[in-house]
Amino acid sequence: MRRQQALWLLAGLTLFGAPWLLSPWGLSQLGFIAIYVIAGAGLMLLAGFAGQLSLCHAAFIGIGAYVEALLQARGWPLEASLPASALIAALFGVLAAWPARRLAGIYLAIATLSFGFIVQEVLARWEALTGGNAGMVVAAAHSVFVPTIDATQLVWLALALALACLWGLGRLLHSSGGRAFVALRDDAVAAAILGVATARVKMLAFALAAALGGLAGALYAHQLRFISPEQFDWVMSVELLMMLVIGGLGTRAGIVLGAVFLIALPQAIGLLRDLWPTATPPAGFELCAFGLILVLTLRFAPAGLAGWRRNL
Amino acid sequence: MSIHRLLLSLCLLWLALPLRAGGLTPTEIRVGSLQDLSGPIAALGTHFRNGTQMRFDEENAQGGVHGRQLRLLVEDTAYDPKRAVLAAEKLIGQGIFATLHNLGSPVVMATMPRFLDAGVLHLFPGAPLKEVYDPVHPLKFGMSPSYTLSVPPPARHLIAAHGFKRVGILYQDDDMGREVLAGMDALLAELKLPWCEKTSYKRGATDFASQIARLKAADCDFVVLATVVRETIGAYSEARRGGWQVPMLVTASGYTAQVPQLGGAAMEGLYAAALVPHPDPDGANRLLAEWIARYREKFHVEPNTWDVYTWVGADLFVRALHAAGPQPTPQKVARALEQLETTRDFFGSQPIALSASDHLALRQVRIAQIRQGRWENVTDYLPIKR
Repeated sequence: MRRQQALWLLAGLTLFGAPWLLSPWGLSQLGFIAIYVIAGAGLMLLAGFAGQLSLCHAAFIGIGAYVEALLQARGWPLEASLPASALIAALFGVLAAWPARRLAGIYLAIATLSFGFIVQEVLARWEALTGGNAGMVVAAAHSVFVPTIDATQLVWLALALALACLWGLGRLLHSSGGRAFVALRDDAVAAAILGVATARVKMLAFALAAALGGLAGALYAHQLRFISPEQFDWVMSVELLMMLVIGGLGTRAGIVLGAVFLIALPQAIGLLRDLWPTATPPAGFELCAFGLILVLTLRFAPAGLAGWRRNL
Repeated sequence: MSIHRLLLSLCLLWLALPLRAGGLTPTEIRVGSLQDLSGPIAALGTHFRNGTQMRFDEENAQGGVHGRQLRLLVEDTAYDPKRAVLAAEKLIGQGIFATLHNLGSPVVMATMPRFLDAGVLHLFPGAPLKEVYDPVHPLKFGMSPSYTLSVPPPARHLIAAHGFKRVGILYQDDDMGREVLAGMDALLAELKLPWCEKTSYKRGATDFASQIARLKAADCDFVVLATVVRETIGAYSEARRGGWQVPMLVTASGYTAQVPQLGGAAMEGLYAAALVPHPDPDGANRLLAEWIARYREKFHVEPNTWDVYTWVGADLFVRALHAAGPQPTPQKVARALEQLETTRDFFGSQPIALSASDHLALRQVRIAQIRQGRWENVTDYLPIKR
C-alpha cells in the first residue's frame, strides 16, 4: 500500500512538474487532456454511472466557454467567473433534464441532441452578445492574484481541477447519492421501488454533468483563445462519448486514458507521418490511421483501455 | 513494469519530446502550413497544399533561395481549432520560419496570435477575414479581402451595365453569408436601391426550391449568391429548371472548375467574382500549359483556382526571401514583401503591390462567366473600394 502511495505521489509530482519541462506543444496537449478529463468526468457521471445517454455535452461546454469569455471581458476575475460558468451551465443542465425526466435510451439521446442544436443556434443567433458565427476572441485569463495567467499556469489550474474532479467523482460514487445514480442506471423501476426519486436523481446527474462541462468549457475558452458556435456541435458530444467508451465506461481511469487517446494519439500519428518518404504524404493519412487504431482498440479491448489494463 | 506505469512513462516521454529549434539552417528553410486534409473543406485543403508545394519544388529545382532548399511542413487540422492549436504549437516547436496559407477562418483566428507571438511570419491565409491584414502587424499579411469588400465591385458593375433595379440575395446563414450581405447592404444603400428579396439557407442544405421560389415571386431581376460550390449548383440549377433565367453572381467561393463540371449545362451564364485566374488548359499559353502538365504529373489531379491562389502566395514569399538576402529574418522578409511589386504572371494574376501601410495582396476582382462549360473572363480587374 505504501509503495502504491509513493508511486501516486511520484506520478503527481511529475505531472505538476511537467509544465516546466514541456515544450509549448506538449504543454498544450497536457492542457487539452486535463480539460477533456474534466468534461469527461461530467459525462461519465451522467452516462457511465447514471446511465443517461446524453448527446448535448458539447452544449454545456459551449455555455461555460461563452459565460467565461463574457464575464472575463467584463472584468470578472477567474475566482468568480469559473464558478459562475459552472453554475450557469448547471442551470442549463436542469433545463435539459426537464423534458428528459421521463425519457430513456434512444429517445433521451434525441431529446439531448435537440437541446444541443438549440443551444448552438442561440449562440449563433445572439450576435450582439456572442459575436454569432464569426466567433469571439478570448483574452488571457486574469484573477485577483495573477493579473495575466500564462499558458503554464492555465495548465496547472486545469490539472488541479481535473484531479479534484476525479477525486470528487470517486467520493460521490461511494456516497448514498452515488449509489442512487448507479441504481438508476442498472434498473430505474427497481430503483424507484426502493425509494430512489428517479426524476430528481436524473436532474441532479444532468446538473452536475453540465457544471463540470461548463467548468471545462471555461478553461477551453482560455486554452483556445477563440470560440465559435460551430466548435460546440454534436460532433464534439459524440467525440466525448467515444472518449469514454475507448477509455472504459464506468471507470475513472477510463476518463484519463480516453482523453490521452483522443488528444495525444493524433499527434503521435502526425509524428509518424513526418517520417513519410515523400514530401506530400496522402491526404487524410492521420484520419485513416486514427480510425484503424480506434477499430483495433475496440476489437481487442471492448471494455475500453481501463478494462484491457485490468485483464492483462 | 506494469502496463499502467508503462503507459504513464510513455505519455510523459511523449509530451517532453525534444523539438528542433530555428527555422533556418545552412541548407534549409522550414515553412509550416495548417491545412484541412480530412475535414469538411478537404477538397480545398489538398489544392492549397499542392499549389504551395508546386512553387517550392520549382524553386528547389533551381537550387533554392540563396542555396537553401524550401521545406513545406503540412499539418492536418481537419478544420478543428483544437487540432489546429496543437498543430501550430508543434510547428512553432519545429522552428518554422514562416507559416503559409493556413486554411479556415476558425483555424486562423485560433492560431494566428500564437504564430505572431512566436515571431513567425503569418502569410496569406485562406480565410477572407479583415483580421489577417488589418490592423497592420509587421509579421502578418493577407491574401484575399473579406467578402464584404470583394462582392460589391462585380455587383456594382453588373447593375450599372444591365440597369438592374430589383436585386435579391440568397445567402448561407453563417459568417460568410452575412459578410456578403453586409457588403451588398452598403452597395445598395449607396445606389439608393431597396432590397427586392433576401433569403437564406442553413449550411449543408441541398434543396433550394423554396428560396428560389421566393426570389422568383418577388420578381428579382438580379440575384447575388453567397454560396459555396454545392449550394451554387443547387440554387442556380433550381432556378433554371423552373425556367427562370435571372442573372446570378456568385462569390469567389463559387469560382471553381467544379461548378461547371458538376453542374453541367444548367450552369451556363452564371457570373462569379474572381480574385485569381482559373488554370484552364483550353487556350493556355505555353508556360501555363507546361505548368499544368507538371502539376498533373506530380499530383495526378487537375489543378484549380486554389492551386493558383497558393502558388501566387508562395511566389510572393519566395521573391521576398530572395530580396531579403542570404541571411533572412522574418522582419527582413516582411520588409522585402512591403517593397514587392509584381506584374501579371503566366496565369494572368492581378498585379500585387504591398506596402508598409497595406498588407493586403489582392485588391482587385474581376467578373467571370460560365460560357460553353468553362469560365471566361467578362471584365478586366476592377478595384476594390475600402
